[in-house]
Amino acid sequence: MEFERKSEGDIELVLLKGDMDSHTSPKARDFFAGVLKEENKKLVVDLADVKYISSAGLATLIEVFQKMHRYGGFLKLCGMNDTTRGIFEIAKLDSIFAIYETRDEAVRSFSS
Amino acid sequence: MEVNIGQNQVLLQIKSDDKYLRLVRTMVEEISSLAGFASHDIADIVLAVDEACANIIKHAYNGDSTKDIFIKLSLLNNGIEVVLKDYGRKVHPEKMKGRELDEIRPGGLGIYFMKKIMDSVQYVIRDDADGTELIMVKHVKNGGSKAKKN
Repeated sequence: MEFERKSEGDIELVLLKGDMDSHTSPKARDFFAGVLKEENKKLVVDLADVKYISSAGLATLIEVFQKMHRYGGFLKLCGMNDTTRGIFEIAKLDSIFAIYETRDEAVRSFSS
Repeated sequence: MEVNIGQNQVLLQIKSDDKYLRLVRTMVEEISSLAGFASHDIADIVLAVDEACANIIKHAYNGDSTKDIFIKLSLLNNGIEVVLKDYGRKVHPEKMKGRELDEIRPGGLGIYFMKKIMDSVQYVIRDDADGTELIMVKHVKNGGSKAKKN
C-alpha cells in the first residue's frame, strides 16, 4: 500500500494506492496516526487507486473518522470505485461518511 | 481436509499469513466468474472469503502466520461452495455472531459481511477432529453473467 500526502490551503489531502486489507491496514493505521497527530481539521482521503477494501480497511477509516470527530475535524472520502463503494454500502457506512465522486468535489465541499 | 478434488473443484493451501490474502482473492474472483456470477456478486464473494480467512488468522491462529488454511472452492450447478478448514482454536459459532450496525466502531464487520453476502454460512466443529470447518454457499441469482462451467 502506498500513501501520498498533499496540502491545498488548510485542507490535507491523502491519496491511498493499493488494497486495504488486513495485511496492509496496520501500515495505513500508522500512516494516519502520523497525519492526525497534527489535528488537521479538514482531511480528504482519495480512494481512487484503492481497488479493494476489507473490514480491516474500513476499521482504519472509521478510526480516522472517530479521532477527527473527537477533536472537531472533518473527514471526507472521494474517488471510490464501484467495488469499494459497494462494500461501504453493505456495511451501511455510506450514510456515515461524507463521500464524494471526485477529489475536487470533496475539496470544494469544505468551502460550501 | 480431503486431498482429492473433483472436476469442478479447486483447492488452495496457504499459510496463515495475511500477505497471501490477495492471492486468495484472485483465485476466488476467477472461480466465481467461472460459476457465472455477475461482477458485483463476484466482488461480494471475494470479500466474504477474504474476511473468513482474516478471521481464521486472527481468531483461530491468534496471528500465528505458520499455520495452515485450506480453501476448497466447488462449482455447483448454480453457484459456488467455499469450504475453509483450519486447525486452530475452535471458536464456538455462538461466539461468532458478529455485530449489528447500530453503532459506528471499527472491528466486528467480518462475520456480518459473510452472513450478509453468502446464502448460507455454517461452522462445523467436531469433538473428534481438530479445528473448524467453515462452509459457505452462494447461488447465482437471475441476471448472472451467464458464464458456464465446462
